[in-house]
Amino acid sequence: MRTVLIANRGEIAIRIARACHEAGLAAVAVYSEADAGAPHVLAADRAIAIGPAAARDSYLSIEALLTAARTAGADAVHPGYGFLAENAAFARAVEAAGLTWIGPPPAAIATMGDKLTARATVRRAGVPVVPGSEVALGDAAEAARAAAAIGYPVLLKAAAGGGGKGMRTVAAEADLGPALAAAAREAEAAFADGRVYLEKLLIRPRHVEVQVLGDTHGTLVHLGERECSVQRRHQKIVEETPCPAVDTPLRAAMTGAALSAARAVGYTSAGTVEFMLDESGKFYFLEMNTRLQVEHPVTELVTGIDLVAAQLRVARGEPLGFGQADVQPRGHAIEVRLYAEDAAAGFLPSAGPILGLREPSGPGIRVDSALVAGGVVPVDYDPMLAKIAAWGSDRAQAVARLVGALRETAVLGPTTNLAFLIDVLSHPAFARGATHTGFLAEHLPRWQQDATRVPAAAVLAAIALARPVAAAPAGSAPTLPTPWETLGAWRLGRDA
Amino acid sequence: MSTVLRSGDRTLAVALTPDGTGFVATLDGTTVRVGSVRPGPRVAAAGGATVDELWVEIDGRPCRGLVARLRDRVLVALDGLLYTFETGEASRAAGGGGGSGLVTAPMPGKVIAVLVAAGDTVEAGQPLVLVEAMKMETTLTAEIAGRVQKVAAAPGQLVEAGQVLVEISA
Repeated sequence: MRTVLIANRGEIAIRIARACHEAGLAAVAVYSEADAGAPHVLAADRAIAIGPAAARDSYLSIEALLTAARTAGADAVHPGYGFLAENAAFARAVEAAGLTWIGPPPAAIATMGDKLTARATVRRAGVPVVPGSEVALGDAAEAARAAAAIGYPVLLKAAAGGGGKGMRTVAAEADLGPALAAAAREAEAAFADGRVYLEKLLIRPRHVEVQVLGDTHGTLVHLGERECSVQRRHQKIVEETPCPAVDTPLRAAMTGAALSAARAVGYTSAGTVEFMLDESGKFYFLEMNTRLQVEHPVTELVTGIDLVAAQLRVARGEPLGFGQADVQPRGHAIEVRLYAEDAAAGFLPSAGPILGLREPSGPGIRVDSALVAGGVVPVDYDPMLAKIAAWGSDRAQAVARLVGALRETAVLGPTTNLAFLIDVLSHPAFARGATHTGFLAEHLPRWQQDATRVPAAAVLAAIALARPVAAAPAGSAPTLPTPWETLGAWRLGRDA
Repeated sequence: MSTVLRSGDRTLAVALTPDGTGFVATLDGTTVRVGSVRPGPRVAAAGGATVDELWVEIDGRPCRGLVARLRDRVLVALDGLLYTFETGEASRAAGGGGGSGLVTAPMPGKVIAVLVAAGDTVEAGQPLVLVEAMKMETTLTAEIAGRVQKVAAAPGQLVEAGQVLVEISA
């Protein structure tokens, strides 16, 4: 393995390129027409254009990616996360082309990719799943018996499901019949598949996940848990480790279950087993993400283990080089996802040029970013701009450092969720560690940015307006200054 | 000089009066002392925007702002929060301001060139003085048309922020 094609873009492509360089490997970037000259392109040793802006014709095109790998002479492919990272067909195509797939075995991706198969597989391995009936329900009477057995409230879900369609909450038996009929109709309309199944509804659950890492020599370890309950639109925005609600016995149980789930599919490389944790301390398998996770930096900050470097070693067939006893987490780490979106307007995505930028620094601060002043946030992709993480010797220090880092950060251009993230981290319930998946709806509904310092900002605006604009040639398109503008005074052929 | 800014449905009239190394700002009837104005680098950005880094004290509190000036908007990033103000002709008209005849140095710096003399007739927008600060040259222009009453700047002269360099009467 000498040359790694990174089948991704943005901050994760940069992060993987860095790991490749550390390992003495060449990194090949790919880019769509929307990403020419993007920071991830400049982070690599070579970059290959793979097609138009639309992801299905570029970052999601297996053919374009394999052609790029051939063109660049790459002998391995790292998929990052998102795009084709959990696409078993892509993993198989990479291997069929004689290239090394930097990820888990394709069969493990396929098994965990189908929700019902995954649920059945881990259940056989003794991993708790949310109580429910896994088969489609024949009639209301059968549903009533199943619901009574697990206890109300229950949740009806479409077997073919996704996106909340066909989903119904049922609080008592009297409501079950009508809800079942409505859910089946909705599922039939959305997926042409009216099968519905039933799960126990968890109240104020936390989302807690376990990082696992395995090699091809039989070593499989966990790297502790991450708490990722603070979500909007079912997407995480704050992630931390350790989870404030997990004590030592619970951690032992959850990490043990995660290793069982991973073993059940012969897992290697980095992966994450996701659980729901209820208020009584019971946990249930949700799904397994068969890839590197967005929030992997917090695990790296507390364990000191570089997950991407480990993925590269495992892909080369090398042993991990450490065992479970060597994994000794230290302190606390929290990450936030900086998104180009308007938190005051339904998290509406934003895009456009980055006019000005200031990134934070300081003790324990890590910034994984694809932001650059003068760059552009394209409208074509996920609007995540950067991940900002803080490590502290305890949770309070990590929170304080992260809030400080966010206050130092400035992004002028697209609207971002920066102010919203500061308010989330500053909320008393967050300080208590009392997070659950409904946290934002409960504590920050109809959020608006604090207006206390509008006058100070207005004064700054007025000062900037009072500062005259330097005369520029009419009609010139202001871009980055040319070398001729930045060289200063000099004369050709004479000593300075 | 006076500026009218709109933030959502809120309208703010900000008047800056030079005072020592800073300004006295009046805003919605309240007075704010703006001290130690130190303009940082200004860079040109996409779409004709300019971005200024500003270090100032507002009522004694140090502030480090990043300000983008666009054709009809000003974006201000301050302590992790982003503020958007609309500007433009409509705002100016609402403020009733017609520009000031006092041309002041926007920052401490050095006068590079003086382009007018007392008695000259100038038009609004006409370049008057070139000032260099932080290795950047800026052109001070006339806000109003009129006659130059006084020129208080000479090439090579060091000037303070807010110092009056040219006086114009309409």
